[in-house]
This record gives sequence, structure tokens and C-alpha cells, in this order.
Amino acid sequence: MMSATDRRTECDDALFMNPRSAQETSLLARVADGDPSAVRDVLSRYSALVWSLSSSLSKDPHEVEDVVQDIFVDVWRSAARYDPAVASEATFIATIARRRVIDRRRRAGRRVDPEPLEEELAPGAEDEGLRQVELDDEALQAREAVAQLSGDRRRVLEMSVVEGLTHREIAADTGIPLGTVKSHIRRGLAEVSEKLKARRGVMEDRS
Amino acid sequence: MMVGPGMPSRDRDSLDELEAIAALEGLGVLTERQRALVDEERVRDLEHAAGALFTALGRAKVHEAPEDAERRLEDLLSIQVAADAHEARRRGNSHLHDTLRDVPQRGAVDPGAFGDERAAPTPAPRTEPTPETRGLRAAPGLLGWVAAAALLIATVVAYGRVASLEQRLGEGPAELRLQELVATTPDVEVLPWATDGISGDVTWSNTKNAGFLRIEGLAVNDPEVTQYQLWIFRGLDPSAEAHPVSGGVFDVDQEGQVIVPIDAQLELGRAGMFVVTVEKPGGVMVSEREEIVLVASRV
Repeated sequence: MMSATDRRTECDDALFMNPRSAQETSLLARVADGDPSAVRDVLSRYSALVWSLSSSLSKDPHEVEDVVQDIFVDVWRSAARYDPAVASEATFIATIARRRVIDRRRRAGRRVDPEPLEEELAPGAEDEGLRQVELDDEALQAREAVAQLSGDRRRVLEMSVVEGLTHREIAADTGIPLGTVKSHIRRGLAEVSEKLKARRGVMEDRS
Repeated sequence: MMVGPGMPSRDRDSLDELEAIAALEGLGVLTERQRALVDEERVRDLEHAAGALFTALGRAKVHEAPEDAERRLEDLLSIQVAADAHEARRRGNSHLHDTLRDVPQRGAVDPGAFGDERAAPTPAPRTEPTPETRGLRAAPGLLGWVAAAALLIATVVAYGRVASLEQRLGEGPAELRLQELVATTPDVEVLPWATDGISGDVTWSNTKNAGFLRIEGLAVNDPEVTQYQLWIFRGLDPSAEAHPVSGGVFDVDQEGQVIVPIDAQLELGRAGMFVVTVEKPGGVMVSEREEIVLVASRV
């Protein structure tokens, strides 16, 4: 019988990879250097990540494919600006993906269904395979950080960062005063950022 | 607003809010004055925190790319790499590494333009014709196709299709090849240009994924400033296709009719619309469609 570790797929590796290994292989540096062989390697490592992040945009596979293409073209154009000291490659690519997906979603006037996000944070929702790489993954670190926020702050941050809603839309949806919405976003984002920075410091000390 | 270690907490909150907004929406949404206040390194850190959160929370489950979509993506990126290399060569810089590293570091440039496709193209240096290139320049449209061919070679090498490309490049004058295509291909279609003042048409075969443009009346271009680029849409609604297939760049360097072979860089299946835009030398990966000069469509 396959173990939970065996069941980890390449997709999981892309979503929850060790940032140190990403730095060592420095795929984005190869992209910036114009290395043609980087195309296949980047897709092999990050295609599942980008498709997964983009899949919330639409049920239309062509629309998802369009935004995936946009994201990777942006990755190619921005690779020279990547600094491994401030983020993992996966986080850098997810930052580009977030912009593109939210831009598209706004232009289409769409909202996302928040239910899966709540499920993600539910105790026991994680599977064994993903838990094994928890300590080495920026995304999981961010998820841990946001799970420690108060319910309102967490929800407001999700609505802003993931769904791309404006401050006013969030206030209208939740009934939370506008000033409190702004405060939740700036403090929640800062808390997550500080935790990621602290983790990077620990990783640097270890290496 | 007072800025610095001793700033009042209210001002600190306002600054934090500006930095959070810039991280989520891009520095471009701030006014010049607001932008002077924020710490761009902190904005970048917050932006990456948002990216990590997006990964952590923004997916319901892992999705695999459909196989054919993955292949199209690989084609697109390979063309991007080839286009970058081609552009570097056009600038007379044989060191692509140095060219790419010339991109200003984040923080020194407008981060609002992060991933912005509207970056102004860098004009290629004007080069005097050598004895070798002078003959090429005299031939109608040939120099543009040599440039396009260089781009294609770089792309095709990655896919082991060099032999077929060389055959295509070595096949005699365009006019004869157009006649041959019409005479030997049952599904060939001819679509006239629907543009005032322009005569000519597109001859296209879906089965051969090949065709020709005949154009008369289009302005002569300076290939070191702009080039024409053909885009092939599968459907009839350009707004629904963000990524039409490039049919290559070409030049119009004489009055009268020019015949240009179409070099579709991907298999199309069925072509619905042909559009020519004006782009920077060497062409672009994704057109802003700001200057559309020709359209031919099935309807």
C-alpha cells in the first residue's frame, strides 16, 4: 500500500516546496539568463501551482488557460527582478498569479465562493502528505499565520487578498465598519509578513 | 503626515494602510506624494505575504494542466525565449545575460508596472547594410522574414523541427509557392481584406496550416522602427481570444503588391480571422492591438 508520502504528487511538490531547494536550483535565474531549457523545468515545477491558483477564476478552461499564459509570460518578463533573499520562487510566482487572477476576476465582475477557503482552515483538513513539508513551506507558514488571526480579521484578509474585494465591498458584505476593515487588512497582512520574514531568518541561520 | 521613528501612531497607521494598499493593488494606485512616503521594501514584503496567502488559501484543490494546454504553454514560452534572444541580437548585444540584467531592480523602477505588458519597446539600433544584408534589404519583405526566420529557428530547434523549417525557407519565390498552394490544396480559402484603401487577400489552408497574404496599399514601414505582424484567430471574435497565434512579422518595403508567406507558429486547426498590427521590430508575444491595419474574416 502506498504511504501518504508516496501519494505526494509533483503538484504537491510545486505547491509546498522547500524554498531552500528552490534557491539552490535557481530556476528563475535561468529564466532571466534566457536559458531555453528552463521552459520545461519551470513548467514541470510550477505549472500545477499556477493552474491551481488560476482555476478559481472560471469554470471555462479556455479562460483559465488564458490567465495561466498571462502569468507565465509575466514570470518570464519579471524573472530578472526575483531576489531569493526575500521570497521563495513559488511565492514570487504566486504574487504574479494573484495580480493576474484578481485583475481578470474584477474585469469580469465575478466573485469567488468563500466556502473552500473555510474548509482549508478547518482542523484536520490537511492531508498527511502536505503536513510532512509544513516546516519548509512559505505558503503553509502563511496559512498557519492566518489561522492564528481572529475570525473577523482572517475573513477580511481572505476577502481582500484572495478574492480581491475592495474595502467598501468587504464592509458592505460583512457589516464591519470601514475603518475596522482597513485595520484588519493592514494588521493581518503585516502579521503574516513578519512571520514569513522571521522564518526566512531562521532558515538563513540554519544554512 | 509626519514620517519617522517619532511619528504619531495615527500617522503610522495611515502609512501602514498606504503600504498595504500598494502591496495589494500595486504602487501605481498611489499618488506621487503618497508614493514618496512609503517604504518600497516593506511594500514588496507585504506583496509577497499576499502571494503566499494566495497560495495557502486561494486554491480549493490541486489542478493539473490539460496536456494540450501544457503543450501550448510550452510553445508560447519557447517563442518568448527565442524572441528575447532575437531582440538581444538586434540590439547588437551578444550577451543575453547582460541585456536581461540591465532590467532595473525592483524598487528602482515603477513597481506599478510589475508585469506590465505595456512597457515601451526598445528601438533597435540602426545598422548600415553590409554587402550581405544589402541584397536582402532590396528584396521585398525579405529582411523581415529573415528576422522572423531567425526567431523561428530558435524556437524550432527546441522541438527538433529544423529540417522542415529549412525546407520551408528554401522554397523559391512567394508568388510561385502561392500558386502551388492554390493548385494543390483542396481546402484552400481566399478571404479579402475588409479594410478601406487596401486590396488583396489571405489565402489559407486549414489542412496545411499554411497560407499567403497578398497586400497592396499598405504603407511602407521602416523595419528598424516598426514591423507588421500577422495574428491568426481561431474564432471570429478577437475580444474572446487573448492569445491569437502569431503568423510572423513582415515588412512592406515597396509600393505595389507584396506577397507574404504566413508562418503560423502553432497548429491552428481552423482559422477564423486574420489581423495585421503594427508592432516593434521583431514582433511581440502579446499584442496590445493598438494599431490594427488589416482585417480579413470568414464573415
